[in-house]
Amino acid sequence: MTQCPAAARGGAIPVTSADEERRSREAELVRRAQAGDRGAFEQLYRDNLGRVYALCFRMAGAPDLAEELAQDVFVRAWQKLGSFRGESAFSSWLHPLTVNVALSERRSRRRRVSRVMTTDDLTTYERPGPPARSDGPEAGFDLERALATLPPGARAVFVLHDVEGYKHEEIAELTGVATGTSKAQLHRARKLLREALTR
Amino acid sequence: MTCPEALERMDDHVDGILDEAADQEMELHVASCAECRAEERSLRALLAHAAALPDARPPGRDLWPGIASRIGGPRVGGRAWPRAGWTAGLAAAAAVVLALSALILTYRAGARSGPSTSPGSLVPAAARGGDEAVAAAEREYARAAAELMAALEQQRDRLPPETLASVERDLRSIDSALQEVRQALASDPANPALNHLLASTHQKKVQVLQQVLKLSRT
Repeated sequence: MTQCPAAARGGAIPVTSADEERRSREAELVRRAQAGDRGAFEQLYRDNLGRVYALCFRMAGAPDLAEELAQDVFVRAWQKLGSFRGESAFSSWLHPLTVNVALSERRSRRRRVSRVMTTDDLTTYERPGPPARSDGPEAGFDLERALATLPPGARAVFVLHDVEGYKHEEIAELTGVATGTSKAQLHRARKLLREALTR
Repeated sequence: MTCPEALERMDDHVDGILDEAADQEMELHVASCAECRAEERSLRALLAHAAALPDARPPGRDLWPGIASRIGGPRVGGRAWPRAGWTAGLAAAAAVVLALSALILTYRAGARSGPSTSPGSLVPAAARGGDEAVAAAEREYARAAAELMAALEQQRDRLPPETLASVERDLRSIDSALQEVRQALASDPANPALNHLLASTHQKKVQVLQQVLKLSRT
């Protein structure tokens, strides 16, 4: 399985005693959850929900769907918890699971859409609408809102590549498309987002 | 290098995946071309926005209740399928088949001895709806069973062959029971006991599948 790039990037950070304490607490929660303790699993959920939801939200582009996906991720995590060996942080183990759940949903949605659409041409999808302005440090540009208006394939590749740090080869493996397609989707996503950025 | 060539390579340039010579060529072109320089600047600004997105963001509501209801009871621990779990699952399936057989025998006895108005205690209010409601409920049960069967199919490799054979045998018994009830309903569609039996048979099938699937995943 493709590694979590975020985890790989964090590999060189020195481990502090606070980190050790957190890892130790997390390991204990995982051990208890693997033994069937739902309370321990709920704590793992609460510790990791923000990251899981953020990724689901960006991949899905809609809060309702992102909530469904995040729930699916934790249900799947509970089912597969026995395979977690504790060799990495729980969040690192959860990350590819989240990506897979989000991509699976996209694949099944694409199948549904293909039943009623007669074209695979992504250029026929909608252009990004004007993103909502915010008062935050992004100088009025709400990237997440603009992301939500992208075609799903372009959005997924942008999130995986430019937000999560996956390489094109890894995205191709995850999504089942050619590396060139991944590059083309990224180019398109960046172009559409920059148009929104300068609007 | 021309502007179209530079624009074509711009993504790879900002991603740092051009080889050294191509990258230097890009640098030279961008330094001398205001249009491509602006293009590079806006692309890097976008990437800076992406990199600055927070790692976490909370959903609008607590998702735990929905998760808790889906993960059901406590896990039974081990990484591999526990033999005791299989025994329990099969025992449950066998009990369902026995119960259904008893219900069918009861129905047959009742059908021989009297009119189609079976004792009300056997008939839940939900089962007293019209043909359309029964058909809708049956479709819903069939859909649930089909989804569970598909999920179970993916878990086949985790099931011991003898267990799989037993489960399939029991499911065939349930399907056979369903078929009998449907045939009986065809000639007596208003019979509340039959409608109840149909609903409960579907329900039991779904329960068996859920139980076997759940155990296969522990």
